[in-house]
This record gives sequence, structure tokens and C-alpha cells, in this order.
Amino acid sequence: MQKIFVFVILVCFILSSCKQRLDNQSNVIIDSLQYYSYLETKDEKIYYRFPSSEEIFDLINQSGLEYRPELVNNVENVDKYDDSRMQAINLGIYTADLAYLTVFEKTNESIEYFEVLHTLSTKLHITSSINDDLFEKLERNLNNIDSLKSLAKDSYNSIVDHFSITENEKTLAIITAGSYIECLFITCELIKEYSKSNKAISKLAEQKYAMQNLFNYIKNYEEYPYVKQTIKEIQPVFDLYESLSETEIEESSVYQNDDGSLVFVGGKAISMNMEQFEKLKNELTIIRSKYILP
Amino acid sequence: MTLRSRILFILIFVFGITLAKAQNCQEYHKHFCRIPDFSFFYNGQSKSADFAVGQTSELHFIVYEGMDYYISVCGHKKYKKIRWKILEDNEERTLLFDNLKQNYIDTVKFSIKNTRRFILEVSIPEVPENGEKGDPTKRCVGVLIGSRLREESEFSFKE
Repeated sequence: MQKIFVFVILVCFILSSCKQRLDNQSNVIIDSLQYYSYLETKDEKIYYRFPSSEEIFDLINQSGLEYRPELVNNVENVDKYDDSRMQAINLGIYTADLAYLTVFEKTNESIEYFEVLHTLSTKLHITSSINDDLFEKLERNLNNIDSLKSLAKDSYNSIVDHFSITENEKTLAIITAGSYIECLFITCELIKEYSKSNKAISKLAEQKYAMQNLFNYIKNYEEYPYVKQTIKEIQPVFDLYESLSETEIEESSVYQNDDGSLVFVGGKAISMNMEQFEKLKNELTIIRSKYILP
Repeated sequence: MTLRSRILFILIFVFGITLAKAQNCQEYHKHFCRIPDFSFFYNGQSKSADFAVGQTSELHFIVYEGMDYYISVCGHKKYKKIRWKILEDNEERTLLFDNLKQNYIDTVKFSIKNTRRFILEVSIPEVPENGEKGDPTKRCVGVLIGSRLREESEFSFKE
């Protein structure tokens, strides 16, 4: 018995030091080869980031849109998602729904969505802040919308952190795709009528940049079949955003405020015409329907 | 303690250490970068990664019209100097800010007039303060991004 115990300990330590040994070995190799060419070819990494659905809703909400309760995915659908890809996509969808509810200060409705996030996170084995502590905090802060918003934001960030820490960003890519589809779907539905001067339309068009970064991020993981499938599904939305025209507003320059902070002037206006808006709305409805009712 | 519980304890301990090691760098910016005043909120586009001396990496992020942003760049204590630039994410990669010109400052606050794509280019220069030239050891570097909605009246600036 004692021998088994010693053997298990040895195996554990060998396993845990494997990565370090490999690192050390690679260091030796790098030293003996050309170190700087290694850096140039292997280590110049590019990371793509994009705003959360909550940030996008916050921006779009400035254009004075009216809340519509029927737009969110029904919480009862949660049991319909059997495979892990659909669970990940719908975790993203429900995350966007929660962001929508909290931005529009729908306190009571948002509780159910915290519960759904907990259910899906458990199914996907995510260690996040969506746990018993969170529900205790929710109960204590039911009437405090700022606390609720902060808890929703923390929940999303903890999901992102989980996948970054466990180096499983391919799943995060799927969750984010789901979240963006839902966020854009709700936004399109909230815009009752197209008008060129509608501030919400220009905010929607501005998501072109977020889509570009999101797409570049997801494409890093396209070797995985379920990521590849998701890319194929959301490609029409990306293509439509790529077709939006950009016009330079003013030349790029930098000024300094009295308090020392900077002002970055410049940029382009992104325009979306009526046809593009209707097409985007249609594509999003098709993709989203497939996702919420597989 | 039975043999089974001893084995379980060792397994939890070893894998706990392995996870903690991985966790260190991923959340580095949350623990080590200088935080802004409380009017700013944590922005999910923040990121940490490991860097070696001489390495350059890029963080592509989005900034929105009507928002103020705060950026703080921090790194392992061995990295006394971290160079970072803010570039426009366009073909010309227009330079907007270079911390070298401000004696390697680690934070900046800025406002945005129009929604844009930016690149934060971070590098660990080969200077004596940053360790030996050719040292391939990777250490953590973090980028903390904060953001807040700007009141229209606050948007005054001089040329």
C-alpha cells in the first residue's frame, strides 16, 4: 500500500513539473539557436478584444429605445440544450439577455437569468462567481439596480476569466458569438423603424469594429470543428457588417485637456442603409432561432 | 488519514498549484496595475500575458464615441521599463501616443470623439534595467482598461 502511495505522489509531481521541464528544455534550444528570430516568429502575439454585450447595450440605450420584454430567450428553454456547443452558445445568449435586463433596470426578471447562467455554467463545468454567494448578494440587493448591474458584470467577467485561466478560449469564442448574436438581434428589434438620422442605427453600424475584432478572435480557433461550424453560421452577419461603408470624418490628431488627459480626434463614420438594416435583422433572426430552439 | 484520502489530498494540492501558476499571469492586471479613480469601471477588454525581454505584442481593442478611457500598463518588478504605444488600427498604423516620449509613464486617460479601433503595442525593451539581453524568461505584463460615460459638457479641449 505504501508503495502505491509513493508511486502516486511521484506521478503527480512528474506531471505537474512537465510543463516547467518543457519550458526549460525549450529555453536551452532557444539559447543555442537564434534567440531574436525566435521572438520575431513565435512570440509576437496579437490579442483581439471586444466590448461586452452590456457595454454595447449601455451605448445603444443612450438613444432612448423602449424596453420590450418578449425579446429575451425564455428561461424554460434552458433544458433543451443538450450538447456542449449549444450550451455554450446559449450561455452567451442568456448573458446578453441579462445585460439587456439590467441595462433597462428590470430587477425581478433578471434574477431568473442569473439562475439560468448558473445552470448552464454548472453544465459546462465553469468555476465562476455565479454561485451561492452571488444569490445571497442578489437577495440582499434586489432593490439596488447599481449592485445588480455590478453583479451581472462580475458574472460575465468571471466566465471570461474562467476560460482565460483554464486556457480554453475556444469555448469562450463560442459563448461570445452567442452573446453578440443576441445583443445585435435585440438591438435590431428595438429599432422600430429605420431612419438615417436615428442615433441607434449609427450605434448599431458602429459595431462593425467589434465584429471585426470578434471575428479575428474566433478565427484563431477555427481548427476546432464546433468553432468552425459557429463561424460558418455567423459569417453572413460578419459579411454584412463588412459591406458597410466608412467615410472619414476628420483627420487623426491628439489634443491635451487642461487636466492633462488626452483627446483623440479623428475616425470614420460607418453608415448602414435601410436595405442593409433589414438584411441584418433578417439574418440575425434566422441564426438566433436556430440557436434558441435547436 | 486513509491511503485514499492521502492520495486525494496530494492530487488536489498538486493540481491546485498548477492552476494557481496559470492563474497568476491571466489576472495580473487586476492585481498589479494602477487603478483609476472610482468614476471609471473595469473594462473587459483588459488583458495580461507573459513577455520576454525584447518581445512585442499587440492588443486590439475598441473605443466608443462618448466614452472616456483609462489605460494602465504594468509588469513584473524585473521589468523597470515597459514601452507602449497607442496606434490607430488602420493600414498606416497612425501613432497616437508613445509612452517613451513621456519617460515611460504607465497610465494615460483619454477621450474619444468617434468610435475607433485601436492597437496597444506593448514591448519590453532591451535595456539594462530589464535584465540581461537574450534572457528568454517570460514574466507577466498586464494592461488594465477602465471606461466611463462622458458628460457632454466635459468635452472641452484646447488645441
